[in-house]
Amino acid sequence: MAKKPTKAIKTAARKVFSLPELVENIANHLPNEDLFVVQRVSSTFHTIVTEIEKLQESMYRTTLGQKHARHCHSDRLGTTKCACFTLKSPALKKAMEPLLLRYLKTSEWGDVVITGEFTPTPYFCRSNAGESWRQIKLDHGDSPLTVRGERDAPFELWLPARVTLGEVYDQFLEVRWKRIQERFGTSRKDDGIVQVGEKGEYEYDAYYDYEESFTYRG
Amino acid sequence: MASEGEQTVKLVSSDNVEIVTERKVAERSMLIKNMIEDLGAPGEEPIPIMNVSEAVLRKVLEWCTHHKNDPAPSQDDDADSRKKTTDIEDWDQKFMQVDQEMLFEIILAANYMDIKALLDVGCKTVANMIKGKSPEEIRKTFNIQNDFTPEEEDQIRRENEWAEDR
Repeated sequence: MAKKPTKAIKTAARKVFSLPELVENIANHLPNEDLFVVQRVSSTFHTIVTEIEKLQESMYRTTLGQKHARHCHSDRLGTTKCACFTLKSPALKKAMEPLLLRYLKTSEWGDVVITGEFTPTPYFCRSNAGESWRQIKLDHGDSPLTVRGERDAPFELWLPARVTLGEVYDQFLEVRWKRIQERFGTSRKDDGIVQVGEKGEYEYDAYYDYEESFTYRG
Repeated sequence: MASEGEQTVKLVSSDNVEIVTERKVAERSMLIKNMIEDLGAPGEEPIPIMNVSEAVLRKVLEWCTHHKNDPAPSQDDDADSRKKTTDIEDWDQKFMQVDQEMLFEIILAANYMDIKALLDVGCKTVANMIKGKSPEEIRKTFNIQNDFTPEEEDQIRRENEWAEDR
């Protein structure tokens, strides 16, 4: 009992924080927003948080919608936070890149409504999408989304009350893919996607046609 | 022969102090339970708990005594991937009101002695201490060294900026 506490704190705590299985156990009890913070504490924390699939899944499988939900559960987002995530998440941004988000709000029935336009951007080859998909490990929820909107018209997504960022991501990809197909048809080389060359050069001139015809639409 | 519940076992801490306790209490630890099963004759041979000092061992046994009649955890509990709930029952909360050294010693002991429920309570307690703090505050609280280079730190910060708007 004659231990000097200050020195002992260092030893015991340091031991705990250097054992990955204990750090994992601690991280397991943390809400998602704190996981984003603790990965910046030390390399052990960073490794645990970024390499353990269930933590990553949990961090990115964020439920949004439901007007008041953000006050009940750290996992659920209100419309404002949903907008923040959608606009700030690099993966979601990439997914929706040719789609210009106009607004995102809660409908009178409590759904989240996202509307926007399809605009040209150099980053819409599918390889980008796949990469960010893996990176963010978003899930597919069980309820399908409804897409409304006419051909070449501004898009409108109605997200049901329980929807995840993964579904939003999926939906952005689908809408974007549909629009690209409508524009170029499906007979093109590869899967008809305009590809960006390694040095950032566009492989198909069609991209420029596309840009012209779409820039001032809607 | 005494029934299993009344049997006692002798444990020896890392600083060589012998502690006699009920077998049922000691068997909250899977390490001890397996040792008793391997030894075959509980009560006679003292069981060495090599990594745990007397003070910590007594504290751990206090927890085991309180929880000696808890039902065994179901398989479902293990399968549950993310608990996230940091609710701790009142008795455990009071039990964990110790200095930081003891808290971490208890976690290490629970890990070594394989007492899952106690380990979870300890980790929940630490998780509660982490919640809402900044990386720098967390480092300060637990004396964790920042082993990132400034470049790494900056990169991680930038990658996660989008999620930290709260």
